[in-house]
Amino acid sequence: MKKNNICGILNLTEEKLAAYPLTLYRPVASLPFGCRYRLIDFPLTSMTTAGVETIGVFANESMRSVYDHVRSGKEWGLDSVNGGLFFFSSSTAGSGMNPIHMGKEDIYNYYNNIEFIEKSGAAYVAVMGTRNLCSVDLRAVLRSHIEQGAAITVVYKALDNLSLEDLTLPCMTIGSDGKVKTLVSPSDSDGGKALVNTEIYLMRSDLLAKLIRHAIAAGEPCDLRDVIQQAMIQLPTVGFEYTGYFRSIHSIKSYYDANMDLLNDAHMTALLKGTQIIHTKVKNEAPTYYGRTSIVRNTLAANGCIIKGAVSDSLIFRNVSIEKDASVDRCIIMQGSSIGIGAELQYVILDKQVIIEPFTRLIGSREQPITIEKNSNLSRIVKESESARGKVYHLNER
Amino acid sequence: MKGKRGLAPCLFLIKMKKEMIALILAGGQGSRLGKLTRTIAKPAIPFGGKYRIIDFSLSNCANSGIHTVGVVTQYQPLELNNHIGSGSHWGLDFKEGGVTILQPHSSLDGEKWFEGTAHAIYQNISYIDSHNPTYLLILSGDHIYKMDYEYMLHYHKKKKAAATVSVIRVPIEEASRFGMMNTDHTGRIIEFEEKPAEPKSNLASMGIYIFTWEVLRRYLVESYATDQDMADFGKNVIPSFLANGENVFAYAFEGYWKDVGTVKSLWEANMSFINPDHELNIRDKLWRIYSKNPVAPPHYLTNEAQVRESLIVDGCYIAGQVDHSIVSQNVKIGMNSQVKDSIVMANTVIGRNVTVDRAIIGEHAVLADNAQIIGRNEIEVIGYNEIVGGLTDEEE
Repeated sequence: MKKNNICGILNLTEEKLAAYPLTLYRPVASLPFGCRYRLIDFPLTSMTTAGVETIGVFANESMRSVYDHVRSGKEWGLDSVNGGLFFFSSSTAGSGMNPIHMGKEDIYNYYNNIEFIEKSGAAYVAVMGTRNLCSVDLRAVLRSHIEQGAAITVVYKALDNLSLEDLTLPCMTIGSDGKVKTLVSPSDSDGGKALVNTEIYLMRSDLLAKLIRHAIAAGEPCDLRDVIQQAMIQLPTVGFEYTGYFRSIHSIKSYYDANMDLLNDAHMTALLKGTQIIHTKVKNEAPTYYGRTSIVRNTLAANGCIIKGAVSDSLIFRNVSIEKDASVDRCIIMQGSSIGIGAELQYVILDKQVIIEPFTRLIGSREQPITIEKNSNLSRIVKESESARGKVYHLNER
Repeated sequence: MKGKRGLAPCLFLIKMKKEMIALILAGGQGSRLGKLTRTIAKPAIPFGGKYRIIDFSLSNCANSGIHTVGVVTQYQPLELNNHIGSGSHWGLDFKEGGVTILQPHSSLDGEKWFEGTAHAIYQNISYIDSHNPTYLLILSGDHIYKMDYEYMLHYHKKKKAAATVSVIRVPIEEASRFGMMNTDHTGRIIEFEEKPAEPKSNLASMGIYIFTWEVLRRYLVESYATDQDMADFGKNVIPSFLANGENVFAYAFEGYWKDVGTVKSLWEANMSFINPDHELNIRDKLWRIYSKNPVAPPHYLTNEAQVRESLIVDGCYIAGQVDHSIVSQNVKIGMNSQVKDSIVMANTVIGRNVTVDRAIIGEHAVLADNAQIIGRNEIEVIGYNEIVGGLTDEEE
C-alpha cells in the first residue's frame, strides 16, 4: 500500500462535562491513562501505524495540554520531512474554560481549514476522536472500505450487557447487505447486541470536503459529528466490526473502569502489547524504587516512583511517592502525586500533583470513586477539622 | 556539582557553545568485564536499570551546555552507535554541532586505528579543527558521575592553564591503582605518577581533561611529525607538558565518581545505586541523566509478586520475588522465582522456580524453569542472549 494514502483528522470536540473535575483544565484527549499514556496516544498510534503521515488536530478549546504532550509528533514519527501534525483551533469558540460554548459549531473550524484536507494529497481521510478507547488497525479498515465499495466506512463495536450509563452511546443497526440502516440509541437494540459507533470513519478526502461545504451552504450551525452521521444514512455506509478492546470514556466511572481494565492481563495485552505498540511522550525518569516496607500486588506502575507503602489493585503513574504505612487500594494515582505516611486511600482518583498529607483517609466506592482535582493539597482540609486524623473523610461530590 | 550551582547558567550556555567542544573516548574494550563486553563496547553497558554508562558523560555535556560532542568509537561500536543515534535523546541534535560519531577509517596515509587516547584525538584533528574551538574537553565514556564542566572550564581559564586535569581524592591505599597528581598549594601539577607503588598524594586523575586546543594541537602535530610517542594523555601528553613547563592544573572534583572496570565493581556500583538516597541523586530534575527510552507499557506486579528494595523499569511482568536487585525494561520473572542482589538487564525472561543470587544477567537472556544462577565468591555472569536450561551449575 502506498504511503500517504490516508490523512488523519483528530476531532477533539468531545463532550467533557461528565468527566469533571478531570476535564476541568484539559480536553478528553489529554486525559492521562494507563500509568503513562494519554487518550490521544491511541488514535495517533492507530493512524501512524497505518502509515498516516499528515494529521490535523481540530479542537474548540485550548490545546495547551495537547501541544505539550504531542509537540512535534516525534514519538509517532510525525516529525519527518513530509506531512506532520497540524493544529486547528476554532476561533469561534468562547473561552476554553466555559463548557457551554462547546460543540455544535465546529463545522466552521473544518470549513476554514478545508485546505488541509484538500492539500494533504491523500486519497482517503480517517476521522477519529479520542474518547473511544480502542486500538484499531486502519489498514484493515481501508482494505474493507475498498473491497466493499463503500462511500463511508464506520467502525463499530458489538457490545452486550451495556451498563446503565452506556445507554447514551451512539449505536446503529446494520442491514443484511452490510450497510448501515439506522442510527439508534442502545436502548432500542431490543435485547440483542448493541452496535456501538466508535466514531471512527474512513472515506475519500473529496467526499469529506464536499460534506463540509454542503453543511456550510445549509447555514445551520452544527458539528462534524452530526454531518457525518447524517451522511451515514444518506450514502452507502459500511460497518467495519472492531473486535478488540473497547471502552467509551464519558464519565468518571467509565474512566475509572477503563483504567482498572488494564489490571486484567487480556485487556492489557489487547490494548498495550498487541500488534500496535502504543507510542507516547517519553520522559527521562529514573526506575521505580520499591522500598523494604513495600507490599504491592496486582498493580501497574510507571517509572520514577518511590513506593514504600502498601498498594493493591491500583494504577500508579510516573513520579508518585507513597510513604511508609500508607495504603492505596483500587486507586488511580496520577503523575507527581504524593501520599503521606499512614494515609489510607480506597477507590480514589488523584489527578496530577495532588498531595495527601499523612494519616488522611479517603474512602470512595466502586460506583463513585472519589476524584481529587489537580494540584490539590489535602492538608488544608485536615487542618480545618482537627479530628480528621484517623477519621473517614468524605469529600463533597462535585 | 555540590552546592556550586550559583552562576546564572543561561548566560554561560550561550558563551560556552562556541568556545569548547567535547570528545568522548568510547573505544575501550573493558576486557575485565568478561562476557559483558564480548559483543559491545564498555560505554554501551547497561547501568542502573535504564541507562548505559555513556549516558552519564553525554548528559553531563548536554547539561553543561556543550553542544558539540564527538564520540570516538573503535571496539564493537554497533550497539553504541545505535544507542547514540542522532543524539536527540540527550537533546544534542543541533543543526550545528550535535553528536558526531568518530570511527577509525583508512585514508591515503594508511589505516587510522587509534593507538591510545591522545592518538585518537590526533587522528580526529580535522573534526576538531572544523569546529575551531578555543578549548577541548576530553572525556571518558565509561565513568559514572555527574559533573558540570562549566565550572572546570571557568577554573581552566582563571588559572590560564594549558591543560587542566580533573582529579578526585581517593583513599591512599587505593592510590596505586590510579594515575596520581602531585600538586603545589596553588593546584599546579608538579608531578604525575602512573600507578605509583608509594603514592605521594591522594589526587587521582579522572581521565577528564580540558586543553587549550591550540597548545595540544601543536604538541600532537609536532610529536607525530618527528615520530615521538604521544599516544596517551596520562603516559605521554601530561608528562611532556610538565617537562616543557606548561601550565597544568588539577581541578578537584567532589562527588560520586566511579570507573566500573570489573564485574565486581559494576555489580557493586549497581547495588549501591538502588538506594534512593544514593549520592548520584538520579531523581534530580535539574541535572537529569538522559537515555534512549524505548516505549513500553508500565510494569506489572501480580498478586504473587514480592518486590523489596529494588528498582523496576517499564515493561516488566513480575510474578516472583525480587529482593535488592535492579530489573531492567521488559523483563519477565515467573512465579516462585527469586532474584536477589542481582542485576537483570533488559528483555530477559526468567521462568518459574528460578533462583538468581549475586548475578548479572545480560540482555535477552533466557533462564528456563528451575535454573539456579548463584554467585558465590564471584559474581555470576550470564551473557547477552544466553540460554540457561533447567540444570544447576553442578550438573552442567
